[in-house]
Amino acid sequence: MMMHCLQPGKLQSKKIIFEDVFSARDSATLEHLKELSSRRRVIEESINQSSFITEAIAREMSGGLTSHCLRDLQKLEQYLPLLENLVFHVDLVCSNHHVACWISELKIRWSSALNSSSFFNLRGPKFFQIDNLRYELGMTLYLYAALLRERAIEILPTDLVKSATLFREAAGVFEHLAIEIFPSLQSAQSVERPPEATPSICTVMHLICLAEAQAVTIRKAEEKGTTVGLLAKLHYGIIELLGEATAILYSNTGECKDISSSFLEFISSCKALHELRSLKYLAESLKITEQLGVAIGVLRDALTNAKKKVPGEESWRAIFGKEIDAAADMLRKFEHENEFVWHEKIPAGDELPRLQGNKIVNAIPYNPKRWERELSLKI
Amino acid sequence: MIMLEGAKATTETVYALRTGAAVMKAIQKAMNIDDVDKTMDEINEQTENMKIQEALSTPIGAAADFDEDELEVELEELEGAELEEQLLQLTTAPAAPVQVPAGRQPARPIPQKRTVEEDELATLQAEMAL
Repeated sequence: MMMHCLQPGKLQSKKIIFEDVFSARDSATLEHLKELSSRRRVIEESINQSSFITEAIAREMSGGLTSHCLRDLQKLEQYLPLLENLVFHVDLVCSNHHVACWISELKIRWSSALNSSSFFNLRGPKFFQIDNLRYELGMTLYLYAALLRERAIEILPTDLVKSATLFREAAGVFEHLAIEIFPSLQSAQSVERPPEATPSICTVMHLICLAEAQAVTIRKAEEKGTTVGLLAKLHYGIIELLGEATAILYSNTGECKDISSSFLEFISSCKALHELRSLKYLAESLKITEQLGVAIGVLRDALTNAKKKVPGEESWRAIFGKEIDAAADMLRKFEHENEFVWHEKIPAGDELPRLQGNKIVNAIPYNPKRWERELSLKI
Repeated sequence: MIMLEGAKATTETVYALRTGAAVMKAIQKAMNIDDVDKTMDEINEQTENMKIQEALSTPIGAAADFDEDELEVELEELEGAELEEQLLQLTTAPAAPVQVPAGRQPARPIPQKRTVEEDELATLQAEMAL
């Protein structure tokens, strides 16, 4: 079982009407702007949960898609190429004073799903406005990546390969945001921004998605009866990925201040869970190689550490508890056998073996698609 | 009725035996003892020729004292020692461009045995389209 956190995808946005702000010189450009607004509106209504369309109609409009997540992904895949085209044309004339005014009039506002103040604001989520089209592009792509991740979680019980692929695609989008989109935004603006609109958080999400893809791969490996030594290394690979994410979150860049405690707990709990699993497999492999005393030492140490890190959230606690019980059972059996048969010395602390991790997944690079249509703005 | 059936069976048996004997006679007639003798002589002659060839291929002089199996073992040891020396040179010497003389093929890399873990990893990566 894997622990899941769908919090990162819970974004909201205020309405934008492009044709009210940008002046089009020709009908083709006006049509493009209207289509942008129309495509954005269906996304806004879905994420803001303000749509009056019934489930049946929504399913018909999407061509029969039953998954809400898939419908939203479809809407984003229709919106993003149009937005990329607008960004491309605006970049060509970005120094123009009119264009800068138009963009500020758009009032591009997005909420944050990771900001700690979002949970305690009774009047609804806090919205962050940044007058830059790359902010709109970046936040839309962030939502797209978060939904890819959500879809991966949705199909995990039925299709492990597809699920791992979706996690890797999401990782690729987050990586694109961290490297290509948000760094340019950073230099231009000094206003308050949501954590999602920073390269650091996008890198953290990239690492989380890779860790989740590796966890799905491990599930496949476990089903196939892969050797315990390899399973131990794969679980430790996840710890290394989440360790990198934690290091970024607690670094002093200032981008990661005010992150929700629930999100931080998710990362630390996942790390602790995979550490326990890794050490349990290590103990099994030590038993196979007739090092029962060392196996007992590893399990005792693993359980001591795990019991300090039990998460608060109910569903996570259940998964964690099950894993602790399984490790405790194994420890009891090993101790019993050692007491009656082998009488091996049980090492502790620095005498215990150290694991090395194996990271076998990589992100699928994101290739932006642009609807290549000429736009002519009245500047 | 039973006696009639028995007589019929006896007749059929005798007929079969007579036919078989006739066929055997015909086969025997085609074979002449002189032909058989001639064929045996030819076989013996060829066997003698093979003995001569074997004698010619036997090593003579100093080479006759060497045991082939021992030579094989010694060759393997020499090849192993040469390989060790080459590997040692590769790890200690600074990197230098390797010039392959024209017309000579570069040495093939020595295939290393994969562990069970590496095989499992490769299979898993293939199955998960990683």
